[in-house]
Amino acid sequence: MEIKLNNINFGEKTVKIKNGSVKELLKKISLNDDSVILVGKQGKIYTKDEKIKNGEEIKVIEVFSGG
Amino acid sequence: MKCEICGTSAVISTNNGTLCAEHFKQRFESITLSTIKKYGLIKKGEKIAVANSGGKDSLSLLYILSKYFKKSNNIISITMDEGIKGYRDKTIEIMEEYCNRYGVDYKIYSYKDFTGRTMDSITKTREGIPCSACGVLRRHLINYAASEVSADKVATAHNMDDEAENVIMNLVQNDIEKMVRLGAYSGVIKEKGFVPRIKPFLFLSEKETMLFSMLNDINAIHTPCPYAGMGFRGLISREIKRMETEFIGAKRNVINTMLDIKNQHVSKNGLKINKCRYCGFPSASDICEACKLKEELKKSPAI
Repeated sequence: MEIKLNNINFGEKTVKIKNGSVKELLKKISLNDDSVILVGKQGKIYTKDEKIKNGEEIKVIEVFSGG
Repeated sequence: MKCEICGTSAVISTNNGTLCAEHFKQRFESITLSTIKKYGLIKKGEKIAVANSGGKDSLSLLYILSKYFKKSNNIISITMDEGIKGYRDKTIEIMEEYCNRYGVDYKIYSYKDFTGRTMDSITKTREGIPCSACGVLRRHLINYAASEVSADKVATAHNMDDEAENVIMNLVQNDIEKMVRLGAYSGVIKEKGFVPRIKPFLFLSEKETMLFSMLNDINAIHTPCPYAGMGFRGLISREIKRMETEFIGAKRNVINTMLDIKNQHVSKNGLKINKCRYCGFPSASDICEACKLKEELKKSPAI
């Protein structure tokens, strides 16, 4: 399945994952659960054990230090 | 995943719980208040200066302290302007807008006024990681600002990630004297010229703080400082988040271990502190790092 991603660092890109899990997606983009917040098109915030629907558009917000 | 309290869709799962948006916000505030209570961070009537960059963490802290302590305490916002164009100027606008909207008094202190140079200028002529010089100046100016506004304490939004990073950096550098100054109530507690620092977010992670600001529509910029992520701290920061993902509770355990060591060390040795012979502020050595840096910058004019 294909997931569309949007991120301040890497911009927009589409990634293909097999089982649709958040864990698989994070592994694919070399991030981990503690360093990121994933927000879906309808404002849904994904937790690490969830599945993502095919074609979902996700904003990848990286957690950063400071502020 | 489902919220452990109401069974609706969860927005986060950490060692502080698996929670929906509403219950997460409640838990976040409750952990902040219990940290304040457990360590006696705020007493009735005290004037609390909130070190406020206008970023997600400090605005969240100001939000909670204003919500729960505005009636019993005097809350003032103090901001350090490092002089980072395109970043700090934007967060200062947000800080001013927030303080004006919610009726919080604020004051701004700049590196330029203190050293004659902005951080952007310092990075052009000074070798090394910008964060080390910036951290020295920020700690000094926060203490100066808190003293100037006659605050009893200065509250910073340092969170569990920041503190765990500090512990590991001090361990790697074999600097136990620096490490034992960490904690929810840090530094020298009773010393003229030093305003005690308190960290109400000590047991909340960076991710939790960021999510809290998002869920409360706290209008912060969710982009890091352009100089962040460099050097040793950047490495430790990335590794500690990876470690937490694999071993939930790792950061909390690092902090609890530090607190145990601190208690043992302080009860046995006390906290040793000198005074800077230039500025009179508490310092680990004869001249504090901020005054050393100020002198160094005088010798290397701005480009």
